[in-house]
Amino acid sequence: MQGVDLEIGAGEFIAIAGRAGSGKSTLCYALNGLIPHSFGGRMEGEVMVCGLDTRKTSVPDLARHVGFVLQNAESQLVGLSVEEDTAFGLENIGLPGNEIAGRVHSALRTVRLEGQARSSPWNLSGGQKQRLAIAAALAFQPEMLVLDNPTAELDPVGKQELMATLAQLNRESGVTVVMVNQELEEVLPYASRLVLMDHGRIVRVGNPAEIIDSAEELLNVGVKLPEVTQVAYQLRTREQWRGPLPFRVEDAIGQMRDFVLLTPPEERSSASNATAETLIEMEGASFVYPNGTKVIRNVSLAIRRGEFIALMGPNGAGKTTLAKHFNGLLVPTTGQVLVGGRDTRSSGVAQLAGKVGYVFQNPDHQLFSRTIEEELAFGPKNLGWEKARVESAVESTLEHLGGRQRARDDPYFMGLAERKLVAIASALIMEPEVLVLDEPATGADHEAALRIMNYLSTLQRRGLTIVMVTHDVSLAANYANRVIVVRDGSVALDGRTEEVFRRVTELRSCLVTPPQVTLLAQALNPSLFTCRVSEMVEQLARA
Amino acid sequence: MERGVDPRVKILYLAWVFLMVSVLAHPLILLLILFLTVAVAFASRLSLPALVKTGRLGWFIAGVSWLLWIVFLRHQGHALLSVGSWGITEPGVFNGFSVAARIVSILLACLVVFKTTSTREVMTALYRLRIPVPFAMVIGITLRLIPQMQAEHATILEAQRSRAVEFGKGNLLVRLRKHVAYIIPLVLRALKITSDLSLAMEARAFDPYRRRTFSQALRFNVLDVALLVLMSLTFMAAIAARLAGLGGMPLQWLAGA
Repeated sequence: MQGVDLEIGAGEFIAIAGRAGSGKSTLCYALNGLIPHSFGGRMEGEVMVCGLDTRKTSVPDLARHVGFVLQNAESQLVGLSVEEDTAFGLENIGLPGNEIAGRVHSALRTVRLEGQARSSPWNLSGGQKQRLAIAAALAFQPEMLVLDNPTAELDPVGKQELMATLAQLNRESGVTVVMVNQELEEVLPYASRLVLMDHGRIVRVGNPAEIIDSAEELLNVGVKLPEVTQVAYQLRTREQWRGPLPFRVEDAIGQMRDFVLLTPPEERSSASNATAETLIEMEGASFVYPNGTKVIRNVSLAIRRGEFIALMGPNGAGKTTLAKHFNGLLVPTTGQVLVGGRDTRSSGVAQLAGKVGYVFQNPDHQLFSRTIEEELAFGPKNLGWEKARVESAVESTLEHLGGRQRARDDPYFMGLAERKLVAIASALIMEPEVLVLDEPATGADHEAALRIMNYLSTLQRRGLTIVMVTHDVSLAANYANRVIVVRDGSVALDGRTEEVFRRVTELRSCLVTPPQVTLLAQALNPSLFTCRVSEMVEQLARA
Repeated sequence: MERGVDPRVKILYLAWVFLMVSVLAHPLILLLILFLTVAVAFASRLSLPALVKTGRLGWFIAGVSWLLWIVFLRHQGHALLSVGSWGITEPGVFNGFSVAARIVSILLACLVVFKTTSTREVMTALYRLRIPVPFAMVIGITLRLIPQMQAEHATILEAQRSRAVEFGKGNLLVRLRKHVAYIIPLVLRALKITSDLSLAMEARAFDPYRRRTFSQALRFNVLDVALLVLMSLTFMAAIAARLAGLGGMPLQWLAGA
């Protein structure tokens, strides 16, 4: 971070956006004193928070004024009950027991967790865990809340819950909110100002509506535009849009009164290479964990060659558990899963690895070698390939990752997107017919997510079958040709992407929010449908 | 050990078991202490199969220790049973039993205490027992991290199994090499998790050298006091017995006697 000048007024709601490594988190750490007190490095200039110089005030003293919430909710859990966790900070500042009890109760009520006081925080949903982190910060009765990308790992409902809580705090209690968030459509409806960062500098600060209107500037700093903004921006480039660019669906509807949504020239369907050949088949599969929790309930489905499937649903619905059945990591308690016609019960995970590749959400769980070359060779060696075959496969896979010169690069020192790509490549090198990916773009910024998704799209066009577990409706709409929505361990919706996203009411009942562009299209013409920005722009015409 | 017992008494019970099995060495007394820890486990209403499962590594170590003593002391003392030149001797059986009983008693006491006491109770108890806060926090945080690290371990194993690793196959060297595939990610994840947790704790005003309070009030009840008195008396009796030459391993069973 360098040369940052920023003034934040009491009661503001500040949104901060920018690509990975632009200095957003560093700015947050500077606001609560973790910089300069807890990190190495050199700090120049001055940060004054609530009249306190952060250089001269300790982090514990600043904590009374600045609440801090990290991206990963679980990494912040200290107590073994919700109540304990909320009380931890207050005990640290030496408050008496009766005052702690009062403040804990009040903070939990504010985030609507008062009924869970005695529960284990580990049993809460993702959104509830983040609200607990906010409660722990609120218990200090701070003037300011700083949140570093708190919605990144939440499902749509968790995100909504969290944003509603923050908006209420800001509006009713006057708490100043500073929030890093890559998803502008989530945060801008509440933000009083937007801060854009790039290469450690603040490149623009201002009213969200004004900044959104300079869409090029947002794209230049690697920030994804809200879908309705994308529609309006594309129309503007065609000189069909005269007004300011909107970021809310309601504003877009208001500004598009003189537009009509035309019937598409022909019935489009998601680009699909799908054939009739079934690669994976589940028949009446149910799965119960050893502790008795039934996660998968009587699921029957077939995955055909060439499909690009998005597996969606709220946190805890059973998506990952279902996906782990595809490569035999889990075998059904009842029913069966056939991979290439063979029952997964009779074939080990190692035998299936050559047929079904599995890429975990966090590449840290997978990568361990000192060089990309070694990492790539690991799987084929385990499969017992001959040396020459392994070397040849590593050579050709390296070409996809940027060439032979990257062979000695250390995956540990790469950015998240690069590490995810290495993890994908280390599964692909085993030449599977199906690639299962758990949240491939989560945690990556917009540019990195696009890079990963475009790579997957290329692979699918070459004939690879892809199953992607995701919360991101926009990714599902733009890349998948089939969507399976899981609710309470059962398949609630399954069909072509357009068919599934058309069923807005059922999607909502499965706690999946349809893409902004679908809501806009339905508002303009309830009888027509689209779920992709490019298609909508094609269908729009001035009345 | 019921959940109603003051956590300080539970921690002292743990210390008491440790001290008693350290001070006393007679196999019969150790058997008695072992029975007592089993009785406490029953009284705690914990699931016995769950306890057995959680402590399986400890039970295994206790069993192996007992066997090793029998093997190492096969030529000493009175033979209870002979098979060729090999004998199962009294010193082997009783010294091995003493070691195994100590391991099992301490492990059982640890499991019962930690399964019936929340992390905060442990920390509060340690703090009230005048144990320094940094030490109490290390114990508390270690307990807090155990389930998370178990989950990380399981995920990393799955990630590597998905890459065709078969951890159970191959000779010892091959197996060791395969384990690198999960040890390195596990260590790196542990560092990341603890680093994030320390940031979160600092952001919540944690400073081990500042005065802190505990919202949880601890108060001894009659049962707590009775248990404390009982533990103190038995411990003093054990010391007195050892000073009087009682409670040790009988001479004829002593290793090397």
